[in-house]
Amino acid sequence: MNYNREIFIKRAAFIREIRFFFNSRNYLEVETPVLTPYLIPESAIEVFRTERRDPYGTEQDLFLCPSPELWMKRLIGMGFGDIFQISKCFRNSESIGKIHNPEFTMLEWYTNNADYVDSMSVMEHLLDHLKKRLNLPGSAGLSGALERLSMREAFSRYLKTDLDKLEDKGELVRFAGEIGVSTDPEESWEAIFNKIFLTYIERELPKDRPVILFDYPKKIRTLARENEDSLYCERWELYISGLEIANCFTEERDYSKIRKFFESESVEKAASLVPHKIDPDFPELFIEDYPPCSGVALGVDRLFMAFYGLRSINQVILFSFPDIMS
Amino acid sequence: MIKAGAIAKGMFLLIKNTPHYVVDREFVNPGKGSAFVRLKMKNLLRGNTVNETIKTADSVEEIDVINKNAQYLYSDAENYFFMDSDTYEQYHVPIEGLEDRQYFLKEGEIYQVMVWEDKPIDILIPYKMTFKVTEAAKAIKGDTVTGATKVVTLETGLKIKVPLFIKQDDLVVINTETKEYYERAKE
Repeated sequence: MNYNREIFIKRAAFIREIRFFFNSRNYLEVETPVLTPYLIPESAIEVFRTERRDPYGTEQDLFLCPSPELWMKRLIGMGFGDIFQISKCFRNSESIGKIHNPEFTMLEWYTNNADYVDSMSVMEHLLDHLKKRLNLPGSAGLSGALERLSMREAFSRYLKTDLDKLEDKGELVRFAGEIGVSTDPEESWEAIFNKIFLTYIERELPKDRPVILFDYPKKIRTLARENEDSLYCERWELYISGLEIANCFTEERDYSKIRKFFESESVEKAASLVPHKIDPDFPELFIEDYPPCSGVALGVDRLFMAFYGLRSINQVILFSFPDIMS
Repeated sequence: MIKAGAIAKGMFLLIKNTPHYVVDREFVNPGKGSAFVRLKMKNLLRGNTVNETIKTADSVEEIDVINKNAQYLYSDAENYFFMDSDTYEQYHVPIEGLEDRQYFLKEGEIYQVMVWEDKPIDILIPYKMTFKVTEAAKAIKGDTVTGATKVVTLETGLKIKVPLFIKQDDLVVINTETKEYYERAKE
């Protein structure tokens, strides 16, 4: 193991500046549990399970948080105001490689009385702040002005098709066939959409400027608020140099919708490699007035890579998984 | 069958009944989506590059492809003819999809032929090869611009750009991938 100390001096300054940015905007820094007895069901994420041994009692299953969302949203419900956290998060079963480490650093922030468009501005200001304070022109991926691109525009730009017209699964299957994406009758709309997106859109996104890709189809179920006048959710992702860096929602506050999301995801979650207990009280947070808010989860290791033009996550994490397992 | 999550670079896969070579693979988890593997593959029958995205949990068929040494004999309108270096057995490789190979095949030379289920599907060309220049115009006197080039024809019919000092009957090394001049061969 051979680490470039210079990189870690820069990394420390980078994280200091992120803290400075949120502190100066009156976000309260919080720390929430990493070890948790239950989680929000997210069928696409596999988690790490461990257990607490009580010498005189029964063993208790515990899980490592894949994101601090469930605890931070409780704090919002308690009236903590704007909050942020920089914490270690854990994801199981992802392939180890240049952009994944099972343990990674996440920045998550929530802004009250805000929606996903407000969060875009905060994101943009954060990028500007980091560039300025670290005296960085930024790597090639950050050289141009940030572009805001809707998913529908992206489909029109890269595939010359109207995403609105692909809402019906039959139409989506037909279109997939036209562009050479193979589908299986068992596959969900979401899986086919993802194949098309990953093959023809994601890799084509501009690499000379950050891109906020916004308005994801409602058919991809998340806890993002649905726009009632369109087929989309109020959600965006930030891409820099083609790498997915951050994910943002206008947070859903409708109790029945959250309840429904929990029920359907719990069914799918049962088939996962590492099943976990589902947070029993989370939907109840939304029965009574819950503040309108927007949250962003951002991979700090990846953003740091993007700023310094580094190609592998192993260069920016001390004792990364491949290093400690070799 | 293997899980798509186990696909590695350099593997051979049977996709839509066609053998493919995995040039590159990248794992992606689209935000809030399940895991996919994005593949860049070469269709070994048609020679084109294809991009495909598969769920890591899906199954794909890995196939055995072997390379055999064979001597190139000649070609006709439809096939290249080879002789297996071990068994001396003669066989042919259809030209369709491999039209480009004609520029790099020299009679009597040994090549590696890629075989799948007893069917020859590709001819591997070394990265660098030496060819004789069969046609070259004389350099025009006084033309001394640095980096100036001219077009010559090689023994296989390939036309390439070379520096002005290259003459007819010279041997030149070329990069077979880019079809570009590399250097003058030392005799």
